[in-house]
Amino acid sequence: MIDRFPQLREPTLHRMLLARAERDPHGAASILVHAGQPDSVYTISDLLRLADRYASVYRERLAAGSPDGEAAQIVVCLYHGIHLHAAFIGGMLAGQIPTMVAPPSPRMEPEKYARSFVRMMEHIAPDIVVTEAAVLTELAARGLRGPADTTMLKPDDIDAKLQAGPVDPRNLEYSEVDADAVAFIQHSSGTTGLQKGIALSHAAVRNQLEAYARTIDLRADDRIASWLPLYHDMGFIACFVLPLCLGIPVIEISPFEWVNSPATLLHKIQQHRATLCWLPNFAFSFVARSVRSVHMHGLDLSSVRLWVNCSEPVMAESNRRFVERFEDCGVDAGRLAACYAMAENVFAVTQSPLGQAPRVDRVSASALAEGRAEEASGTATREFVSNGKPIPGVEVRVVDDSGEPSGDRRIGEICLRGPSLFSGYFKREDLTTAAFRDDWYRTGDLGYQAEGDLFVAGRKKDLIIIQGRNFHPGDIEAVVSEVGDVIDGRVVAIGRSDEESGTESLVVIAETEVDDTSERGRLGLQIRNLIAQRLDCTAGEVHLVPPRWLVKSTAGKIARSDNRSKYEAELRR
Amino acid sequence: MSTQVDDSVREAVLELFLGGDSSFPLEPDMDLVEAGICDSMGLVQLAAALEERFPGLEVQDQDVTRENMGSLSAIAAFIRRSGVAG
Repeated sequence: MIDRFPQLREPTLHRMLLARAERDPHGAASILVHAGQPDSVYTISDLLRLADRYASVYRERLAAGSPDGEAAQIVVCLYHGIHLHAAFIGGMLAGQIPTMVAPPSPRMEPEKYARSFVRMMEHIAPDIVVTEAAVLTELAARGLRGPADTTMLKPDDIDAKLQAGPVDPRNLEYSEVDADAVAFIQHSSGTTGLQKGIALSHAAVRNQLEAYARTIDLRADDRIASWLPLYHDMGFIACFVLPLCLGIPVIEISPFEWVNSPATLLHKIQQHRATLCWLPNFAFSFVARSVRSVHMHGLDLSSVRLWVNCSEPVMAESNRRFVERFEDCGVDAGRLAACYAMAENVFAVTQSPLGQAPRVDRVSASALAEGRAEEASGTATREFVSNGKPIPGVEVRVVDDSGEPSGDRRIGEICLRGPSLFSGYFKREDLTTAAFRDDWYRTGDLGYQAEGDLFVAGRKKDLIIIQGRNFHPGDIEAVVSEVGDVIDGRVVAIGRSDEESGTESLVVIAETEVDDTSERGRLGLQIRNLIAQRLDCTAGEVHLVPPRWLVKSTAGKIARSDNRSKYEAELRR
Repeated sequence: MSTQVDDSVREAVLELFLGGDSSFPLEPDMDLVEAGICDSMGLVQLAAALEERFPGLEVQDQDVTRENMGSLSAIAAFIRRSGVAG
C-alpha cells in the first residue's frame, strides 16, 4: 500500500496532506454537489489554501489566552461545503485538536437546537467554535451563549478570497506535532445525551488508513461518492480523512439534500464514474424503496466496484432489496461488503472479503435466547450477516461475563485491540479505564464468531440506533413524560429491528388514564409531535396503555427488557 | 366530501407510517412532518408509494416538497393537478 500511496510514510496527518499536495497539487479533492447548480470542483491546493486562512485566524485568536501549552479544541459545526473541510484541516495545520459536530437539522425548532448547542458547548468546552452565522444569530436572539472563554467564529470571519493555482506546501505554515499527539476528536453519533469525545492520535489514524486501504484494495484512480455527514465516523473517516490524505476525489452531496432526493447520489455516481460508496444499512432499503421510475431510465451504476454496508446492524433483507432493484443497472451481490466499525477504532474493525456477497448465517431463535448461535433452518430462525474478519493488525474476540473467550458460536461481548485504537475519552480517564479489560477495548456490542467471521447480534446497553443515530431511551422517556396526560415516569422507549426500513424503529409505550378514543388519538399525536421537535426523530409506534401496564423491577424501576417482552407478546403488530 | 383520491391517499399514509391504524386522527391539513408522523425521507418514500397506487403518476424530484406532499389535502391536490385521477 505504501508503494501505491507514499504519503503513508509520513507520521502525521498534516504531513500526509502536504505530501499529497506536493505530488499532485492540481488533483481534485472535493467535488461538491448542490441541487440545481453545476458541481464545484476543489483541488487539494484550494482546500489547503483556505485551511491555511483558518489556521492563521485560529493562531491569532489563541495567542491571546493560550491555555498552558495544551492543544486547543476547535469545534467545527457547519453545513456541507468547502468551509466545513477547510475549518477542520485548518485546526490540524495550527497544531490544535479539531472535532466535527452536527449542524442544525431543518426539522428541529431553531430554539431547541440553540439550547442543545449551548449544552454541548458547555460539555465540550472548546477554545474555538466555527459555526453558521444563522446559529450565532439564533443564540444572540435568545440571549444564549456558550462558555465565556470560547471564541465563536463564522465562515464570514475568514477571508475566503483565494488566488487560483497550485499551492506550494513549503509556503504553508503548520505546527509540527508528535505522531502520538491527538489528531482530532470524534464524538459518538446522535444528538441526544452528552457524548463522549473519542481522542485519536495521528499514529492510530495513519494505521487505520493503511489497514483499511489494504482491506478495500484502494487504487489511485478510485472515486468515492458520498452523502454522509462528517460528524459521524463512517462519513468522516471513509469519505473525508481517508480520501483527503491518500489523494482520492470525493463527490459529496449534502445529507439534507440526499434525504429529499436519494436518486441524486445514483446519478452523480454515474456522471462521475464513482467506484466506492459507503452507506448505512437503512440507506440500502431507503434507496431501493424510494427511487422512482423517472430515476431509472438509463441508470448505470456499473462503475461502483464496492458498496460498503456499515454503521448499523447489516440486514440480509436490505442487501437483497438493493441488489434486486438495481441489478439491471450493474449492481450485483458480489460488489457488496459488510463492515463493523466504530469511532474508538478510528473506523473499521472487520470487513467481509471483496468480490463475494457477505455470508448469511441462519441460526435457531431458541438457542439464540440461550446465548448459542446454532445453525438451523426453517421459520424459528434469525439471519445474521457476516461482518467478515478483522482488518490487518486488529484482533477481535468475543468474551463471556467473566472476560474469558466464549468460544465459537457463543454470544458474548465483542472486544478488540490493535494499532488504531483510541487514546482515550478526552479528559475522562474514568470512562477510559472502565472501557478496557487489560488492553482489550470492550465495545458493549454483543456478537459471535464462526470460522473467524464476526456476527453482531445486539448491544449490552439499551441504546436505540435509528438511521445511524444513537438515542438513549431515557432521553426519549423523559420527553414523553412531559406530556400532560401521560403518567409521569410511566413510559418506556425501545427500538425494534425493522426489515422494511432497514433500521430500528422507535416504539414508545406510555401509561395514561385517558380512555376517550378521540382524546387518545390526540394524545398519541402530541407524543409524536414532541419527539419529532425535541429529538428530531420519528416514532414508529406509539402505544397508550392503562395505568400499571408497564412492568417494574423489584427495585421499582421500569424494566425495559421485561417491557420489551410484554410488547412483543401483546402489542407488536 | 371525501373522494376516492382522498381515501386512497389517506390509506397510503396510514399504511406506510401508522401501521394501518385507521382510527388515527389524521386531519386533511395536518402537516405530516411537523406532527411527527414521518420525516422528509418518509415523504420521498410516500412519493414512490403513490406512484404505485396511482398508475400513470410520475413524481419528479422537485415535486417532492412539503407544499406538495406535506399533508393529505396537499397530496390529493397534487394528484388531481397531475391529471391521473378524478
